Amino acid sequence: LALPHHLQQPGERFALEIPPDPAFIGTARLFAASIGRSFRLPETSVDDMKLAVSEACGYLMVTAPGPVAVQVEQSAARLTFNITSTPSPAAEASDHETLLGLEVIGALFPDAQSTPDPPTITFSVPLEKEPPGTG
Amino acid sequence: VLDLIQNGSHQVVVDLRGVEFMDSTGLGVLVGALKRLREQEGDLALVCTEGPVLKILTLTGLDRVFPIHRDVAEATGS
Repeated sequence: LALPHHLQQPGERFALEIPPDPAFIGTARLFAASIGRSFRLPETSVDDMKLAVSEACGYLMVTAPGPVAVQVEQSAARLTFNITSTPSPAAEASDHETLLGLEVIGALFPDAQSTPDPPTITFSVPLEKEPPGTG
Repeated sequence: VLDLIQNGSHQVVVDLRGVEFMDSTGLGVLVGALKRLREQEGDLALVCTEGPVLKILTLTGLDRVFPIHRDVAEATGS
């Protein structure tokens, strides 16, 4: 995924939906990394985004099993991630220890929030200005 | 790792230098292995020098739980 510059405008949204199967979390990581790199974020930020998206998808698949949507919206200065699960009525949430993942997200992105209805994890990443003379 | 433990190894070193990504699920596996080994008076050491894997170990405080070394020779004391 490489986003042309004309798509990198404030208000643009990008979305991916994956089945509630941990095997697809890697796809969500690739999605996050591709967006981060297309905005020329430093690799350390891209790594943080991959980790937070991975933790969020894993947490939602355990606590509210159902398809998981990863939505990214660009504002003037930030990329905001909303990761939401649509729980399947027949699925049962696990009581497996999952809080560590939320703590990791909070440590990476201090504005991270988790809400139960709908099950959503939100965090945002600052967009850094390109150094002069690049691009 | 579980195979090693079941085969009688009590001192295990996991070289993570080639691992590009790990989340809390991977940490859970390592913690589970560490717990089993310590029940048998063994230990699990990690080889990890930099990058995202060391970062999550630090973020979660597990860098104070696992012995972390720069290379396998240091971890094994050879």
